[in-house]
Amino acid sequence: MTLYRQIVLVVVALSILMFAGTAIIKVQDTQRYLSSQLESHAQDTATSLGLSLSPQMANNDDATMISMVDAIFDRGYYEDIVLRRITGEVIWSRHSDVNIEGVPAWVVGMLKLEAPEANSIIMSGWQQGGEIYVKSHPGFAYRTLWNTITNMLWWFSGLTVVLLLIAGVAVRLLLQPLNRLEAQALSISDRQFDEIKEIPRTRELRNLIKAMNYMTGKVKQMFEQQSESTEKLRSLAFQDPLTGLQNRRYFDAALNSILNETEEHQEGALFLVQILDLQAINQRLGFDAVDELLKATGEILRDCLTDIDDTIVARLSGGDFAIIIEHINEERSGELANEICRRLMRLHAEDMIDTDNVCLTGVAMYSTGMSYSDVLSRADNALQTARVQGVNTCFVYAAPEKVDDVVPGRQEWIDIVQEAIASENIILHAQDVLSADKNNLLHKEVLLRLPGPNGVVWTAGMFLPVAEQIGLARELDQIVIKKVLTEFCQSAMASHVAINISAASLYQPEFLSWFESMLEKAGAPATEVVFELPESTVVRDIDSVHKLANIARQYGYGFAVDHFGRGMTAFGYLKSLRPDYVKLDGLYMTDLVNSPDDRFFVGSLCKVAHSLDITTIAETVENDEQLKVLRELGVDGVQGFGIGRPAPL
Amino acid sequence: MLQSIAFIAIAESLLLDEKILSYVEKQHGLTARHRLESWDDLMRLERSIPERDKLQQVNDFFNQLRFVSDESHWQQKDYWATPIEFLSTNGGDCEDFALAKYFTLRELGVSDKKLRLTYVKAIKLRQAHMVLSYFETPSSEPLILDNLDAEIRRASLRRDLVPVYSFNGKGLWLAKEREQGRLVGKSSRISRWTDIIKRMQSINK
Repeated sequence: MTLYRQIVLVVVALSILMFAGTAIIKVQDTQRYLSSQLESHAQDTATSLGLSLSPQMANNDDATMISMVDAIFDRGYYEDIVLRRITGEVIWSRHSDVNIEGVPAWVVGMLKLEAPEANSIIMSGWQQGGEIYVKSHPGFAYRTLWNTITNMLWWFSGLTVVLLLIAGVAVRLLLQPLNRLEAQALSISDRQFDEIKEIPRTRELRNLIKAMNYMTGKVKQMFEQQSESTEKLRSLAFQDPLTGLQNRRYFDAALNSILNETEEHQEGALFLVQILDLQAINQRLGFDAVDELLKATGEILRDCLTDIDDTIVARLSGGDFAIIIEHINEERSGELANEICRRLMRLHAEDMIDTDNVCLTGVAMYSTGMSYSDVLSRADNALQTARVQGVNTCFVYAAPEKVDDVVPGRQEWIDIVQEAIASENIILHAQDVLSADKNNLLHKEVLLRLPGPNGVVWTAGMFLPVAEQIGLARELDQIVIKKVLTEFCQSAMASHVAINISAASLYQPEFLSWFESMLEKAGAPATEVVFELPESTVVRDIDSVHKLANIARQYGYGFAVDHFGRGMTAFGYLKSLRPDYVKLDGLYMTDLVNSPDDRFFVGSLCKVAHSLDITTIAETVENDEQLKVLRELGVDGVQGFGIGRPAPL
Repeated sequence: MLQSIAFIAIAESLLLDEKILSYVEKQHGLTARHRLESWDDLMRLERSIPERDKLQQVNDFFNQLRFVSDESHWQQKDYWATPIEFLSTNGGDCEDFALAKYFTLRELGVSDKKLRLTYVKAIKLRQAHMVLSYFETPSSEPLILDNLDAEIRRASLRRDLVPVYSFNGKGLWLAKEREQGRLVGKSSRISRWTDIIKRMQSINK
């Protein structure tokens, strides 16, 4: 019940009570007053009639007496006048019925007005000749009484209405600050930390609003602090303080995670870049010069990679740098390695280094499934080969030839992808994402497969790099989206699903308009459908991602961020983007059980997400130890081979 | 039954107690106290004696008191004193005489129906006057108890008086008290007097 309604009830109840109380008192008063008026009226008439009839009584003049009684009765307002001789014989009697117009019968019945009787003696000389008996008519009194009651009722009703109006206005005025407070509280839960500018004059409310404003400020501060400290912690744990590049820990974890990836990034390259003779330079030029040199190297490496997605640059130790590029082929790698060498040689021209023996670069092409140590040692071999070639050179090691001759070559992959797109013949698999207690299925992540000969099914990691290179990734994404929305999601019985959208799709301007018309055509899904985008894409093109998320939400679809925490980005985008959930990158899972830092970091990521009401899901969970730790850290959902392997959708 | 209750009430209420007596003595002297005591004795008369004797004794008792006009006695134009005030101050006008006689006779058991306060004109004095009339029966000729004439006479023998109108004593007293009750209360002329008046009122209810 609203406050106003309660006040209305109280006002009405009070009015009724007051009316009843006042009415009782007033009616009793009036009743008493009218009774005494009636009595004195009757007595006055009796006395004056007695006095004026006395001489006629002495003369035995009945006719005159009757006329006088008639005159008084007809002019006045009486119920009864009776004239008797002293013997009791009635000489004359007049009566009129008590008939009260305009007064309800129940009022006459309920409010008995005793019209008192009065009598007087009629003298006949010294003797008593008779008696006169008078009873006033109560009609007028009843009407007065009734008018009193109705008048009072009108007054009270009028006053009640006025009171209610005043109460209504007052309540609205008083509650205005509370409405603002409510809006503020709601916006806090939306992580909008607005302060209320209008401070009300009512003291209690003013204090409340001030307290609320104070609290809002505090919450905002806390939120920002938490987000900041997590970012700081991550940079401490995974960043090289000198160059601002990633450190060895991060590099190891990232490379492991990438190599274990089954769905993406089939072919990539690991670059090892070495600044030569750092020790000697140190002795010749001093620490500061070395620090400057290393920083400059970092800058150059970053600069060379600006146009390339999904890269990791790390300083491993001393003058050893490493670069992981997730989507690149051998040819492009060679070009890039050459460019790096050339750029680094310029350091000599810029007097950053006093020798032209600057660097060596070794590149090892890798494909997922290779072991960490294998890739690293191949890169090291490449570096040694480069050293043999001479300073400032590079060497690229190709990926080892596939022993399995079933695996198609590059041209064959292109044919496979083009054929699949033309015939829209794809296979959809899905991997379960469970709640951390493994009791509930949160959703299924849809995975793209292509059919091969003899029932062979190609995983995405095998054909996606080729598809991306030849610019067909968008077509594949579109076929998946279309298939899932039009075929799978039509049944309300279907489970919730997540669909990946690749960065390549988003970067093509046609994609967003296709996306919107597709969602419009499909309508609101019968089940929950969420589109996932990798964090690197989100950071690189936040505007397009916003557009995509808005379109999805507009038609009743969800939006989520994959590989959360992989890049060294600030989490500011979470606040504006508000994904339905984030999937913590597999990078943090490898060492989770053994590394307190990783655990702390995953916990912090969860807190940042949770503080924005965003669900957290851990990827590539492989065993129960990880699961146990993740639960302790407050992760909401889990996914990975340890949870469930992909299966046909 | 009702009559007997009223009778007891009257008997109880008009009998004077020591407090009133000593108060009157203090205010008006010993003789005033003696007058009240004599009145008290009068009211203790045997109820069974003939009414004619009661009339005689009561009339004689009060006719001993002085006739004084209200204006000189109470400094008011028309003041109706109670019998106690009347006796204590040893004086009153015609109304005080008539009323004192009326109350005392009622106390002695004379029916209210037989007693009337009669407004008359005293021809010789050319004055409005009041007497107490006693009607043996409702239609009989009344006996007149008057302070101007010490004898109780039949009305037809009072050629010096012209009857104007009669009231039953109770109604008239109450009507008068309604205005005087206020006066007594307001002038705060000793709460005991107020008390007495209230008691006298209550008898007659």
